[in-house]
Amino acid sequence: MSRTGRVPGAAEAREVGPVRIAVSRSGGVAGMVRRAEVDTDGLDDPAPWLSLADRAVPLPEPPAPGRARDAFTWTIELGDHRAVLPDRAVTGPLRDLAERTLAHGRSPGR
Amino acid sequence: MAPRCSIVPPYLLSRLVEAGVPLEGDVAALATRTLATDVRLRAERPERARARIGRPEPGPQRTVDDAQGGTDLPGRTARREGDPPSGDVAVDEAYDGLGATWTMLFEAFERDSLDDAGRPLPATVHYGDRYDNAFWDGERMVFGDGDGQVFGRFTASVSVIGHELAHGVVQYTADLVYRGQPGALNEHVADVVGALVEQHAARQRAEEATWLIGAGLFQPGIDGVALRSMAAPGTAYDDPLLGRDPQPAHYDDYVVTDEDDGGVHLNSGIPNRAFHLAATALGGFAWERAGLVWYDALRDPGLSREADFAAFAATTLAAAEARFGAGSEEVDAVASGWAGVGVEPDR
Repeated sequence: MSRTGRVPGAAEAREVGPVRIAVSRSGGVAGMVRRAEVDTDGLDDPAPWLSLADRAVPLPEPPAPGRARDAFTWTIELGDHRAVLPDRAVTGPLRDLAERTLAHGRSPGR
Repeated sequence: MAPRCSIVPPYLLSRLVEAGVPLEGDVAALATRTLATDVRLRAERPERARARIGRPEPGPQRTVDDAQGGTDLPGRTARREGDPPSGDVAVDEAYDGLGATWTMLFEAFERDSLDDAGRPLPATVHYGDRYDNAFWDGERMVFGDGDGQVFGRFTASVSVIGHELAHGVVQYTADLVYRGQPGALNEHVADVVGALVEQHAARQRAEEATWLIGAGLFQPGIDGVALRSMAAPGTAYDDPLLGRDPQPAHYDDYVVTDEDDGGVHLNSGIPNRAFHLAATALGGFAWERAGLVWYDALRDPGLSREADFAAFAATTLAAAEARFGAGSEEVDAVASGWAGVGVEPDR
């Protein structure tokens, strides 16, 4: 499909619609949990978020348990999608989205 | 059986002797005695002697690689066994911490590396960009530099380096499933080894030790002393940015959660405190009695990969009885440790 003449972020924003993104990163040797969420409805510029969200679905299936210990565990909710994933399975646009949410999202319950 | 203890590691003495370095007085006597012990050990353990073929003396086989801020493993080799210090603090801390861990395992438990057959010890430092973690990837230890606000370098704590290597020891022994109670036991054993490496390196007695895991990782301004406290789980930090240390110290407060592989880093507080209670009840060097009991339990073929706290507690009691005898103070100390955290051992 040709994308000529379309702004990628804006185009994908229309396809996805508003979405709630909730992320928790737990485990690690420190065992500290970080949680954050973003509601694209309330954002001035939702396009970059929606573009990432669009490319992050479908969320991957959790891989078979590996031998890694003290690696982070991610719990990611993206609209109706939810997945609990080991760090090594969070890659590409999903990783960008998850890290962006932790960095810029609001803490739940605050 | 008395574990061998000396200030200078036996492998180092052997090397000095082999290299023709002249030793005098006490050091010479110590070297002779230590080497004689080593010969006896080999005679007693032919399987281990076989495993050492091609390696004249047991010692750590370390390689520290540098990921240079990326996430590709292993990275560029920065220091091999026997190399002089590299000048890179993280590289040299990892090298020294791996050495301290190998030495504790060998001197306290007569274990030659992770697999008890001299397996090399690979580590990678400077992993990722401001990466807030250290982990065992199934093959090697990996250390981030920290974000610089909450955490500094993860190599800064010897107990964390020992903790990561201990995950390798568990992989080669009980191989406890990394989820729920067996997962919390996996974490617990890693903390025990981490604490013992620090105490062994400093020749610290149970009553003198901090029992902290990851002291020195927090950056200035963070209200906390370490990642965890084995003596008082739940008290290691209380900071506006981090919240409060969520570890339970008693089985009544066991945390059920989806996160963290079922709370493996939370519920490890319960057996951690049981170990601390047993070790301080006994006093002295913790690796000589409580540590040995735990190490025996870890190698007990009857210990299931899916062991829960009650099953592991029963295994430690059996191990204490086998090594120190029924009715011994070691058995009493282990029993009161588990009782102190509300875990009733399987019968």
